[in-house]
Amino acid sequence: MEGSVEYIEQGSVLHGSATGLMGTRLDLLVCRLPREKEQALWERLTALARRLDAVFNRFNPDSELSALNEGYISEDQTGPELTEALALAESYRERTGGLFDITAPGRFLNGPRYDFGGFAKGYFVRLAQEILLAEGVGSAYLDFGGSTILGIGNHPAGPAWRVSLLSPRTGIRLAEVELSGRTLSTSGNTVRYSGHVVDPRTGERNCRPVLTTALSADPLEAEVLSTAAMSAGPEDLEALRRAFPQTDINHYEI
Amino acid sequence: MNDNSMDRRTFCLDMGRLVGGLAVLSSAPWLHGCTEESIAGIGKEVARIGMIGVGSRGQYHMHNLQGIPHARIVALCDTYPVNLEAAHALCPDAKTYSDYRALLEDPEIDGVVISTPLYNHAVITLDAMAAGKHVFCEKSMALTMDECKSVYDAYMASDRVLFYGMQRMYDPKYIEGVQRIREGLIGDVVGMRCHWFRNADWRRPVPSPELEQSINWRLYRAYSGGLMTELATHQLEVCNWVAGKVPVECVGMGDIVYWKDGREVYDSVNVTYRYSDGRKICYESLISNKYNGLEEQVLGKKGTADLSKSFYYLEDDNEISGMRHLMDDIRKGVFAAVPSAGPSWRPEYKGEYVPHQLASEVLGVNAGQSMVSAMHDGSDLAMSAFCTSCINGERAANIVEEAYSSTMLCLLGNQAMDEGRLVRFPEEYKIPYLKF
Ligand SMILES: NC(=O)c1ccc[n+]([C@@H]2O[C@H](COP(=O)([O-])OP(=O)(O)OC[C@H]3O[C@@H](n4cnc5c(N)ncnc54)[C@H](O)[C@@H]3O)[C@@H](O)[C@H]2O)c1
Repeated sequence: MEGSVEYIEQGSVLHGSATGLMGTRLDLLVCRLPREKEQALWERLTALARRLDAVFNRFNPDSELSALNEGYISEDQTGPELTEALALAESYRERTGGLFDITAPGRFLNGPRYDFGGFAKGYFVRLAQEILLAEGVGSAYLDFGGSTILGIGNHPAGPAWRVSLLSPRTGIRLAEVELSGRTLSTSGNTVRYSGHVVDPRTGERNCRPVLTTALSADPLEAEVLSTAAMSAGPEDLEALRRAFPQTDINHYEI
Repeated sequence: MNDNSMDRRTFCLDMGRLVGGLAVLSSAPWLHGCTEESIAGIGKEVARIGMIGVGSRGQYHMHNLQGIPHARIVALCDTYPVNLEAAHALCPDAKTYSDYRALLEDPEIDGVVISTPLYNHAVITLDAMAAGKHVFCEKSMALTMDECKSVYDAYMASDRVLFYGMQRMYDPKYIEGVQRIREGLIGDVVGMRCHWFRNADWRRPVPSPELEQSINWRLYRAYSGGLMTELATHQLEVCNWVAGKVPVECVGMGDIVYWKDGREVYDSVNVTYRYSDGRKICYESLISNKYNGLEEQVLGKKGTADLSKSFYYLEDDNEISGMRHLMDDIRKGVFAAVPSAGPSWRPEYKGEYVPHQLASEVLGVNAGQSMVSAMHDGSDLAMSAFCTSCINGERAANIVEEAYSSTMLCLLGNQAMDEGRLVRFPEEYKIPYLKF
């Protein structure tokens, strides 16, 4: 991990930034608390991300997930986070009618049995949100890899946190959302990474230029549903929306 | 002109304020002539300068020289009376000549500044050194490889000072930029891309048809190496400076794409140079589209430095541009939406990178600049260093060698384009200085 912290005196805004966490970058803004407390929160969240990295990172051969996928440990030997995650993933598989499935066949050729991409970041943000709220944070913004963004309270100069969602293909604005106590998760295909989401029902890689978003008070649910929506046809999408009425799910052709 | 010592210090680089400080002198040793000690060492002496070729660049140098306290222009020479008269009007006290050989006989001249077309750089330089003069010659070194070698050999056999008009070597922007790259700012250097785009015909008005070739000499092969020797030479020198070595081979294509007006030199050149370790310089110049402008990009594993604009960009930055916007807004007390293009699967289109300043804002040149030195492209400092050398007889390290290698690369590029084949740096033109 490589990280840095910057601080704005006015409004007591601390911005922590670190790369190499769960394969991506974590940015946290915390406002309006004493600087030492903000710094301590940043350190706590990066420590959490490092711990989860050691659990869920399938690219890390030493992770707990790799041990499970390689058969060194079995499902009943996993630690508390992985155990909880496996159970949560299974319940989301059922509730999404199989659109979300961490065991999806065809995700990888001779690949691992479990893949928590499209889950782990949301899982982290959910824990992070719990910590921030428990510590009395009234204003914070957390961006994990650009694809999972949480807003708590409001921007120092505005009534909420606002995100303008741009098409990764054209840069054109697709939507603008307010995040106050909600998480925006996006999932998508583009030139470089097309085919990274697999339809669990058919094993086919989704190569269409599509961007999906899910906006929810529960960061994990946002993450899971934006992933699930990638494989959804119009009817599936309606079914997902009915099953998760609290979450705002969108699907854009880009 | 005056000999106030404060003014002389205008022409020294304040090493303490340069990024890298004195360490710069090891990567750019020619700058010794610009240190305060060097300038102090010449006392109140003045270099007596003769100008050979007083067209547009020659007159520009005259302006610079007139702002340099330790320089005095004493003679002017040009074969074209119109330019000679214009130069004389700028400097009425100077003697005038139409034949440079007559000027060279004048014992009251310490050094000459040669700003003639490329084809006669070598012969005039050789004659001037033979006449005992110190020489500042415009780039490029010469029109042919043989001439380059003759000039280099003559220089090695003589004790005269020889400078070339490669002002980037004296430009604090480049000095600091190269230093920071060498210190690892952008990680390992993995390649370079340089280009010079313009949208203009590169012609000068000609009062009468028989003057076409002497005025528009740039366009004719008997006088000029075209875009390579006129423009690329500066940029290739920067590449060699950054890399600390010289490419071993090149391939290229050159054409007259748009300006089919009787010119002989290409208006479109693309040359790729390869270093022995596989790194490449991708060079391009075109003068019928200027969208890409002039850039010298050094590509590093961690980032990219554009020496011409003096910015650098980090590879990671474009991933966080949304956060950067947000922080900038908060600093300004502005509320706006944070742009987000979603996760790491953004396409491979060129990203929006955040520019960072490469050279320090105070460019290390003492304040109190004259109009001319305020231009800060290094030409004035280079000329001042030359005049200092005319007085103390000290050569500037590496300048001739750098001019030699960059000119050779231009000529190799032209050869590769003319012959449509891969051209290797010829053994017989390898000089000890060059590392491959
Ligand atoms: N370092 C730079 O950035 C830079 C910029 C512009 C030009 N230059 C160089 O300066 C040189 C001159 O370019 P320019 O634009 O001033 O060209 P120019 O045509 O305006 O001037 C050249 C002058 O040399 C004179 N001349 C030709 N042969 C002569 C001779 N035998 N004796 C005396 N005078 C002679 C011509 O009559 C003319 O007045 C070229 O080598 C060019 O590459 C360098």
